[in-house]
Amino acid sequence: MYQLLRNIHLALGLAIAAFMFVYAASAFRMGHYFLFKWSSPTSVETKVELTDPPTDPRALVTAIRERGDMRGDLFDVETSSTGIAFMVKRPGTEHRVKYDVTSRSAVVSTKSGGFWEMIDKMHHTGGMWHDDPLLSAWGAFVGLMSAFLIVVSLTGVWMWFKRNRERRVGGILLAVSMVVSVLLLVIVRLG
Amino acid sequence: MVTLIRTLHIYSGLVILVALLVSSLSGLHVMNKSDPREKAPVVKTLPFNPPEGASDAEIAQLIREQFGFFQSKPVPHWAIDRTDGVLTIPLWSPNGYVTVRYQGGGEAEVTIDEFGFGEYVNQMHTHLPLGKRAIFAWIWSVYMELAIFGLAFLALSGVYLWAVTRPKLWWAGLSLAAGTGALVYFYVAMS
Repeated sequence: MYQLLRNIHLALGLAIAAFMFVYAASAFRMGHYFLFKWSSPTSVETKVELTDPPTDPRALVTAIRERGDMRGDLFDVETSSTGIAFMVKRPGTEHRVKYDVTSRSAVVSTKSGGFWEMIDKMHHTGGMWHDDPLLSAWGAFVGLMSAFLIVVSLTGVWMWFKRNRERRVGGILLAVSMVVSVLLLVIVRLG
Repeated sequence: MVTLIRTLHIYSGLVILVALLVSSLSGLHVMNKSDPREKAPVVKTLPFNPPEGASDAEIAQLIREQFGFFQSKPVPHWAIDRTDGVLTIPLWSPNGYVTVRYQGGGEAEVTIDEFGFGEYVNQMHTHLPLGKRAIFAWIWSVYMELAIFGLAFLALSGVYLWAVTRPKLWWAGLSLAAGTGALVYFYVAMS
């Protein structure tokens, strides 16, 4: 039994190792943003022109997105008599679009960042509701990694319990951290 | 060296066990979340009578006491917005978000987004000691800050322990490659 759990702990632990490290790194950036100001995203403005724009707003948004290669989820669509505005977002990149009916062109403000911005936004992206199937697949991957982390945590506790050497100090550490953290979870929830 | 690293691996895992479980449960919760664009918050008009001559900051504090969920964050000065005579105060708490709009007349428009247990757990996993926080939420955030370092250490020490003690297990190497490869694939495909 011990050997089986040890192998499961090792296999799943190694599968999530990179994910855990990247999540820890991105959480560190979120908590210490003052150290990472240099990695803030930058904005670039471009123009997208349509030769034969569709009249239907939905088709128009699709045409602008295809023309400007804007992948991701669609947010904040606002239509008016003079044009249409919307936002397309995926981890690390955000397009804000303002289309003008008379000029048949859209001004696209694209905000994007490098590695740190990307892992930060990957950390914030989850769920399987996205317009872009790739983002939903990422949401499923996050869920899978989370399930693995639960198994790795519980098998780790089991294996520790079976080892005599670290039982006393480990027991004290576990008891103190469990009491304090669970108490805090209950207090903050229930008041 | 291996014994020391293994002992630290076990102890750090035990200390941050609750944080690991909270983070992984929040990952599972987020995977099952519905499209946030379809969410309709509850809007109520409620009586509110601040004292004559109170400043916007004082009104914000009264609003926090009257309408905020338990452990709502003190309202930072930059979040207080007065536009066209309407004072807008956002209140953040792990138990829910509340936005209050007040323009006199003895009543305020209160938009309430109350979190269920799953979203509460998700909010708690995001708590880091940034800015001012209510006391219990702040103590929890220090624990989550500790968990960031613990998470990174567990990942690195886990890979080290495998590489030093059981490097010949082919399936373990495959597991590490699969997890890391999938993460790199998503990073490249989404960027």
